[in-house]
Amino acid sequence: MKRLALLLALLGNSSTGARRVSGGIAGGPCAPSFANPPKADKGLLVLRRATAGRHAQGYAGRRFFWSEPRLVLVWGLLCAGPGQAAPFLYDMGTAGSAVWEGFTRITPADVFSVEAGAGWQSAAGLKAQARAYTDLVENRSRGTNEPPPIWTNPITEDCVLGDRGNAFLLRAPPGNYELYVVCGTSEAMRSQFFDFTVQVGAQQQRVQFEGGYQFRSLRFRARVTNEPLTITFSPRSKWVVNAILAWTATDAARVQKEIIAPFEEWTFRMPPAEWAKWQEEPEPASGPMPPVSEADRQRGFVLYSRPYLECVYPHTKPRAEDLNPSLRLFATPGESEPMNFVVHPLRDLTGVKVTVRAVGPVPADRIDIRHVRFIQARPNYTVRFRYRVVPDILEHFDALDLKAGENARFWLTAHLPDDAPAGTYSGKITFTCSGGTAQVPVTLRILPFKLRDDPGKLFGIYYRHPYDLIAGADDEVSREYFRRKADLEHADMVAHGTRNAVLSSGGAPADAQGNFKFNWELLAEKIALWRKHGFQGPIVMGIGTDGVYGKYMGERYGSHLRGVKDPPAEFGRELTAMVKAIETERQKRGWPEFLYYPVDEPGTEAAAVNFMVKVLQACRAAGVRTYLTADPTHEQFDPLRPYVDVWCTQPFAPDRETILADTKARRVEYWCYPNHVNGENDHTPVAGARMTYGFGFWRSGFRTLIPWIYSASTGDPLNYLDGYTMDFFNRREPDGTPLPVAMWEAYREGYDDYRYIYTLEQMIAEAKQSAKGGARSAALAAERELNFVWNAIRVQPKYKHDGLWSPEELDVYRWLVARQILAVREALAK
Amino acid sequence: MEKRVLIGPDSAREWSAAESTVEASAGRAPGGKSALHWHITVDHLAGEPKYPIGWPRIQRGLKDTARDWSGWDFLLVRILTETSRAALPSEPVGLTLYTPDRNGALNRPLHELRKGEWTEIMIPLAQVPRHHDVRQLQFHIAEAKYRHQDQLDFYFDEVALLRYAEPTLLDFAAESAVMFADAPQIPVRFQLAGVQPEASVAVICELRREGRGAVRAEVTATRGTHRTLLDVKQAKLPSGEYELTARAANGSTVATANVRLVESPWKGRGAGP
Repeated sequence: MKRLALLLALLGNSSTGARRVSGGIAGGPCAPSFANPPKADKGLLVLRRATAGRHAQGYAGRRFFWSEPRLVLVWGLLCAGPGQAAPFLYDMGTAGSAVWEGFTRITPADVFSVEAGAGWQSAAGLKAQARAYTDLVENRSRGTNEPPPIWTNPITEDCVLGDRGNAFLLRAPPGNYELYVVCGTSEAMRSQFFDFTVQVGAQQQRVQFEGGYQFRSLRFRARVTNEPLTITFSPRSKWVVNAILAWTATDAARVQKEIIAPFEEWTFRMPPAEWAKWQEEPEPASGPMPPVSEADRQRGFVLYSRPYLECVYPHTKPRAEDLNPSLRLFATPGESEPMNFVVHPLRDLTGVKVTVRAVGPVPADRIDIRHVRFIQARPNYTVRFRYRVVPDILEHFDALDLKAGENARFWLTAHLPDDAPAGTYSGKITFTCSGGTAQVPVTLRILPFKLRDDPGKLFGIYYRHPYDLIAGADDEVSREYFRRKADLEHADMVAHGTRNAVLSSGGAPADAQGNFKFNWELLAEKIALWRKHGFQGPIVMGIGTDGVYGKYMGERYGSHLRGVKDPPAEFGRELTAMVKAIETERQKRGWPEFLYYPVDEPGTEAAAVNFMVKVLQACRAAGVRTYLTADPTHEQFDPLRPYVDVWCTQPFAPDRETILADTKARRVEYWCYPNHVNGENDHTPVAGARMTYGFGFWRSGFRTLIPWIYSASTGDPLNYLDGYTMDFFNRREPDGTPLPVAMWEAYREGYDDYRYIYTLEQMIAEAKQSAKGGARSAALAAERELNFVWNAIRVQPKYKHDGLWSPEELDVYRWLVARQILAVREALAK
Repeated sequence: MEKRVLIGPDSAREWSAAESTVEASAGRAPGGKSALHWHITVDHLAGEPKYPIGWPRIQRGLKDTARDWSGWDFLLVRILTETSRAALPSEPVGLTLYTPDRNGALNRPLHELRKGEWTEIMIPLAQVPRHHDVRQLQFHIAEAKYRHQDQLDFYFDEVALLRYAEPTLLDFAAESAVMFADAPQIPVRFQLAGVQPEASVAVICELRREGRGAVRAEVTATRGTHRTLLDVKQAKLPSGEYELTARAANGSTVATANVRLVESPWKGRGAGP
């Protein structure tokens, strides 16, 4: 009756627009949604921040607000019938944080009782967090106002967490329910690995994710009898929940359309007002669709292949010559080699599976099968309001559903056993789906030699070390996660040819007695892991220059030294002392050489350059080698030249002759951080990545490739549009296992190109020393062929998209090298 | 070649300049003609407050009637560079051709420039995605590439559009200069110039070895960039060096390119070790 009276009252004032109503409705299944109904706008909820207080006793005393009374009638009627349950909508958080309109606030204090109708099994160990990101945030280091790491909404801005088992109970009329549970936090929580199980009835779902700024949504079905509906949280580390929704079949379509769909768009993409500013850039044109055969039409898909170095976008059309491919590859024992095919669905396809049988000595379980995930990515690092849909992550899958007209690319990598015997082998890949089955023949030639590594070259990478997060973790599960993650990532680097990573010493300025404090044990653990995985070369060691500067200047110098001022002489002396302290420990522990890396990418302004002269002089005064990330071709850096031992620069510049001459004259090394093929500004130069890592590197005269960075994330690691900068390069699976992107695979292929070249160079040298005339002749022939390849390289400072060899050519040039290895090898064996 | 002068030396007043000056300069162009003179004193301390190390530039909008370059093949820019420096940096000047959308624009570093020399730069208009709607030209430098107080003087003789008077093939090449010999097709790319926008001509491509034709194909092509396939499946070509030739009907020049066919790793190899 109260409901009816309220409705009538509202209808009587329907022309007055927004209206505030005091008082409320006693508990009951439809009360939460009725108490705070949504505003309709073109069929969607308008998502407004509500500020209603926590209900103390049922819903009595609650104040609520809405602006469309007519809707309330509809909403109320949905709830009105006896025995019918409206959606149960709960938004977990603090007493003061926002509540999604139409939801009921749940704080850690809301313990279940029959009167309350909903709440926690126990308040013990529960905590709430709230951090809203609804506007730009200031970054003083960069001097900018930037987008926040994520854009929150009333559901995601707050949460309830627990470190022990608990349950959320709600009293609902008997019946069948669907549930939607949102789990995540808007806090950074960088040192937290969430690992917990959510259980409803007999159904369990495990949730794992590292850190905050991300959310998982779970769906369950439940049958309610006379007992409360129970959602159980069982942590291995901690659990977290933002919202719980439960509804019956009657409301399913409406909940999906009016609550879940807008919530997911907001949470996993962007708020509607922000998203309206973003524009999609078109895919590259790919020409018309070739004629489709009747057989393809009947099975509902076209199957084709393109070289893996060529990006296939959601709507890339095959060429006639791409259709119904046979895949051919050659490789050496121990090598990994990619292959791929693309399915272009002519209609929606369900139950997609890809399987493969052994190909000769390569067992099926050593052929990794992944699906290329399309992702919305910015066209450059900090660009806002423009995005492209690009192929990016290579992810495992059990079964997929494919949408008509949208390509699905399947990326397979054959990992050859170390003892794989030479020969040519056949196999096949089977693609099955609701439309039918297709088979893709595979031919693999295994060559009778192994590739050699060049000890004179280094393949490294910048790296955010998971060990740095261990100290902040307050549970053993998280600590073990970070240890395991670091181990898996090091192994992944090695599997991709990378055996060097940038580290940092950390450390604060000297105390009053002139002593420095470092976490040597942490560094020792990192170097132990480095050694365990056979990492090589000097270690680029970041040091705390900014801290020492801050001690003397009372402020930080900002990104790229944008605000640097001339420090007193004591600054330089203390920096020297700091480097000496690090050096002393390094020598005591027998660690590899450190290259001292005091400042990243200094600007070209005179103040920055003058400062860098002092910094580099101070480092060198400790008797060490210095490392500088700056372009040596910029004349402004000329004053730094006498103090830099290792220049690390983005392009392959200066040219080979200059590098070789400078290295010979002054023992200066040139390293390259090719961020243009890392995703920082473009996720698509896959062919450029292979060229950079192989033939281009060989031709450049540089000693090292060390791109920034193994994985970069801002905000949600799977949302490349949130935050100030774009996310790029490798991702991770929920348990921390590395999840590669196409360019990372191309790094390995470039690295292998280089190994083929190096192997041939070594064999030529051996054959030239041979007493066998045939071997010496073979060496000369091989040298001519290698010169042919050398001269065919179109030398560029940055191999990205333009002026590259075609993707097919890269394999032919590799084969030219491989063929000479076979010939020289044969001549030596005769 | 046919030519249409877009911007001559007398257009100084039509340019707008930032952090630099532009004026006509008598007698600086070859033959004693006038030139457009763009002067920059590099200043790392002044200019736009937020970017004291900035981008001095000159730019000029194009009238409606001058925006459609689709019937032309090249943009010609002839520049003399003088400077107080010993030499120019690797990217001394940038040229931007603005179109209504960012993706259709062209940014082209003019790395060909040399101190004290007249340099002629021909930019293929095929590189400008929206060459039918070019709204503005801009020349700029990045002060970060220069030293404070460097003096730069650029003299533009003319900026013009050029086109071939008869069908001509440009950038003719095999998509891959090396291929496996058992490849069923050889993809070939070329750009057809010297043809009116609506017209088409026959283009004959041939693969030759040791002076003899091995495979021949004829395609009908319009002005612009093309990709075609030479079907070599039936020819069972041996490995070796081949020459590709192409000629447009009514064209007087023959375009050539080389392709090397390499015996494939899988040739004649049955399954098994």
